Amino acid sequence: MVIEGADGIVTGMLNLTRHELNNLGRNYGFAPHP
Amino acid sequence: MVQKYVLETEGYRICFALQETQAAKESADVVVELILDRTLGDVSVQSVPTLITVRDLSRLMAYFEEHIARLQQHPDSESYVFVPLELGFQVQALAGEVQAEDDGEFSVRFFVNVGESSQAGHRVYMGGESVVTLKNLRVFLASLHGALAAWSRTHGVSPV
Repeated sequence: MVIEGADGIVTGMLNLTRHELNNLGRNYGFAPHP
Repeated sequence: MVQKYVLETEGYRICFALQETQAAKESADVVVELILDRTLGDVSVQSVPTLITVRDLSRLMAYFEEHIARLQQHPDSESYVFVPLELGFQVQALAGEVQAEDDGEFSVRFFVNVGESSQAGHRVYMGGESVVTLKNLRVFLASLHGALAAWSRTHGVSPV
């Protein structure tokens, strides 16, 4: 399960690639690299 | 009970096998399978079992609708990569020719998450790219719309 943290950091899913993190940010409206 | 929803492209079809979970009203168990057109080879790839939320299914429908609307004005448009929360698959709608809401076609890339690499545990995706007609896309979207309506009636969960 992916959880959007208070600082815009996705936690709970292991070993996210930068590309996956970018995609999640684009889909769920948060900055993947704050 | 497993319900299947199929997106048919010229080169492959994508089958979403959804099954309600006992644990949550807002999500379903899902296995996504990419099946190559039989004339091209005997290949099919299944995703790892994962979850998909009602909201993500609704977002997927909106993603395609927005892409169709955009292509009517900008045929070279490429949408962002759609992913659900659990990263069970990736889909990207690409450039195409759309004359009307239900007349046209565009390229679509689809990847399914087949598991994690043994070395570093990164997810591995396999997939394909082909052309989908709006006629076939409308069939898929209508089936998903029906599924969400039934879900809403059963569980009282709004997809938005």
